[in-house]
Amino acid sequence: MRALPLLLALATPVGPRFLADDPLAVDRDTLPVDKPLPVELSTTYDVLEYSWSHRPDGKTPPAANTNTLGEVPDSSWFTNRLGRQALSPEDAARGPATGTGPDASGPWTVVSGKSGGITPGFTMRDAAGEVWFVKFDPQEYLGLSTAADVIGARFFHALGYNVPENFVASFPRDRLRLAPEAHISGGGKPRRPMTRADLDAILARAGRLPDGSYRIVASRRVPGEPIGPFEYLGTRSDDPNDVFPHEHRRELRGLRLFCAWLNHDDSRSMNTLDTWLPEPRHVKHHLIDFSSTLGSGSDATRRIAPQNPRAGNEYILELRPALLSALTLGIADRDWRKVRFPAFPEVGNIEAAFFRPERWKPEYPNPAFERMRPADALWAARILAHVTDDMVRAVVRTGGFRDPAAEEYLVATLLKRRDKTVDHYLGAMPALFEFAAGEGRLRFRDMGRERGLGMVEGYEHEWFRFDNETHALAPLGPRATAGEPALPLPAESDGYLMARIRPRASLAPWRKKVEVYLRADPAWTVVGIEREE
Amino acid sequence: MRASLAPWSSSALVLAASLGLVPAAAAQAPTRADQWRALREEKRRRLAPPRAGWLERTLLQIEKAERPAITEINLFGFYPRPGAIGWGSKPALGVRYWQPDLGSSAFDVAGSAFFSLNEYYYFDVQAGLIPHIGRRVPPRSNKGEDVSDLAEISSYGLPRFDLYGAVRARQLTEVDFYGLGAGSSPESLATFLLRDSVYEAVGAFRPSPRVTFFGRGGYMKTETGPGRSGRFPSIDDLFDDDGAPGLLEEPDFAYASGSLLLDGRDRPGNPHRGAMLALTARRFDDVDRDDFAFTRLEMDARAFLPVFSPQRVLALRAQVTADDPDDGHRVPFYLQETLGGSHTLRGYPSFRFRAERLALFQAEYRWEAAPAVELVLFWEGGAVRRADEDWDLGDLATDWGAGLRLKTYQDVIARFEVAWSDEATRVILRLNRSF
Repeated sequence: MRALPLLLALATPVGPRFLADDPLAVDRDTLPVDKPLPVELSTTYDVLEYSWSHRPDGKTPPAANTNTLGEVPDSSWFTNRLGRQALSPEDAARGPATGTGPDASGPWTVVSGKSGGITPGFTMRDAAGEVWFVKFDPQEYLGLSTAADVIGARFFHALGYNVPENFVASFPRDRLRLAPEAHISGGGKPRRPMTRADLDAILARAGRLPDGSYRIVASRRVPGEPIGPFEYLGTRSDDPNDVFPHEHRRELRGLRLFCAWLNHDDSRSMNTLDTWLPEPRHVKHHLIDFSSTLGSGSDATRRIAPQNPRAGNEYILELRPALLSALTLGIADRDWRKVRFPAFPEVGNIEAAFFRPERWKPEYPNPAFERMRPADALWAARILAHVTDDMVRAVVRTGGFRDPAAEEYLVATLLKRRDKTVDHYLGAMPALFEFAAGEGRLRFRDMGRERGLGMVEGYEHEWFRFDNETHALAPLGPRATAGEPALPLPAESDGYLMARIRPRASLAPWRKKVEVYLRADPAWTVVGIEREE
Repeated sequence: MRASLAPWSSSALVLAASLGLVPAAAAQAPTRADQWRALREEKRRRLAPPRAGWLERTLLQIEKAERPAITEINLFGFYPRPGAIGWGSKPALGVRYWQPDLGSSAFDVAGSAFFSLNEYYYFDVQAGLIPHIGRRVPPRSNKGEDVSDLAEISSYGLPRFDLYGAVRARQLTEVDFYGLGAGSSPESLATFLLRDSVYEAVGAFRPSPRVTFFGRGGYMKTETGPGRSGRFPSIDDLFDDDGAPGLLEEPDFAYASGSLLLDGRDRPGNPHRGAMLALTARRFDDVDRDDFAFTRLEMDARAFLPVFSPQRVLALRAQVTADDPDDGHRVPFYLQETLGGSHTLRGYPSFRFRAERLALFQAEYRWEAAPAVELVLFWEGGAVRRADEDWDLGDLATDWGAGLRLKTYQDVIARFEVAWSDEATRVILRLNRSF
């Protein structure tokens, strides 16, 4: 399957370019499938494998799963929540939530524990019998990772991804019961029955609120049966619906922008989860565990702590800065070491002044992120541009910060990081969107111009009749220039048209062409967009 | 960059189909949905279970603790170990015995038995409240005997009190001896055999992680003999009892020591800032004679200064040891402190300088090229003096060198160093830190 995109890129045009249902709004990747075998990945192997192999070779093909507009159809991976319509701040803050969190009307029964790792925690059944994964903050950074986990989940949900329902909550010690069959694992020890002492040991590392209750993030078990993480490379060999190599899925390539914005440096396979849904029988793909987003991370002893300043700036294993430092007796220092962060223990280490979205890196190379092409980034930047200030405020509020100044700092930082990210990538290609034909004109939005990122004198354009079978183009008149993003339609009434648009802009990247295809349906309808990268 | 043909081009599917990679049904489908469905139908005919490679499976098993770490492999508390018994020891093998927290109490039992190819051996048994973290096997009982050992012990994570008894016996068959004092020569290298056994009680009190008081007292039997190295002469061929005090006698000693460790290092195993001071006073009395009673004072001070960045550290160390024999008494040569080897003067061999008084100064410029990789330039100077000689620090034996270290956040895993001195160029590969 990995050879397919290359072949696609090399193919010569023959046969209809646009099919009857283009542009596809929904990819129905729900072909019935028996439950695939659960898979597990080795963290160590993952780091080594992606640090040293599967790096791009300079021949990255375009994304493979886009529709003819370059958009990502809704699927088991992604839902256009912001891309097609506005999302209210309330909807963004609600995220995937179907309730208000664990049912606290009765005891919570602990069914398993995790003693090691960055965030020790346990799995419990609430009073209503719902299963929740519970994680804590350390006392010295109370609120740091729990807030990040909740805020991260809601943002990624708004951006279109499948995530668990995460809630900040608290509970008194006497609400917990230990199930007779409870077991514990982690900390380099085999799985064994869980005792009250194990539970006490987990709680001993947990931060408590002034009233003595434990502050937690409760994550509802996602629907379906877990079958392990997905990788950012290749496809799952036992899932027939998984036909597009993950590194060539636009929503996974573009995820890099969203992760940069939210500083989700732990955006790797380990923090994903596939589940098999029995009705209909198919696999759904999720992002999970956002505790290492924003300013939250872990220290070198793998305890929750403010994010390492290296995060987002340098891979764990990166040769060039290491050699440079080695050969200069350490005088060539990393510039990210000079970054200073404000002291908000609930927020940790995140800032916007030093942040450069194009330089941002996850913990180690992500094959999809590394293959992000300008068109993938433009797709993601447009979605991110739809994240409003009010939406950011509403989502950050769900983190339950106790210090209003910390909350305000995080909001301001995220807004600035969003603007830097959007502005950078909208400046890298003509940011022409929302094409629509009507009233004798082809109208569109120039988001780069609207944001004041550069000067545009007008839009040079040529119209062609397009033969959908042979792909031949026939000019329909001389090249013209329109001062506004509204181009007069030619006097044609059937078949296909193509408009080749080239902004007359101050920024060189904006002078690249955008080709827009329209079909008489019977009114002119935009069916395809091709962008020069 | 010219945009490549978009992947939604049906023609691309036609070509791929012609190469047998895409079903013809996909290429000829009337709708995009049909096209993508045909791709899926085709894949459904050749599904295969995911299969990880051997290396990935093995690493996963280790991560899930389905395979214990190699250092945790044991049988009823017996842990096989490769070992180093002491300088001059050829490869050694042994077994550690470790039963912590017996019956859920704080009482622990530990033991060791090691043998080398050149007849070195080491046995010990410890019982009591032995310092340990979790179930990790503790250091052998001789760790902490001298002041520089103390500095290698991190108090973080250890309990507030230790109190245990220890019995140990060892034999070193070819310990190097170059003579005493600054005037010793590399040409006068001889070897000797040392056999000793110790019965002692050890205690420690840690009022805070940064302050530890140690106490140690016991009885030691010693025995020396001709070195068994075939390459160098035996000590009795080159030296007499004046040149090697104690060569003709084998006293037993009662001893006691008290130590204080003030540890302000940020990470004792991988310090980047802070300082540490260890002080020890020891008293040795020969039990059945009146020839070898002396008092030893030791000081080891270390400072770690970031050089405008946490990735650059200047590490400084000063160590001073002074033995003060009672009137008419001497310090036996095998109990005198030494300089040389992989921790002190690295450009000189182990035991190169030996005397009652010793001063050592070390400076390392360390810089982290990456979080796990550290490079180092170092300079060292040291001097030894006999008890009746005056200090003259203008006459230091010096060396310098460079090295590369692999580290975790907490400790040095391995170091590779090259050191140059007037006498030798030495290559050092060790699985521990320098200081």
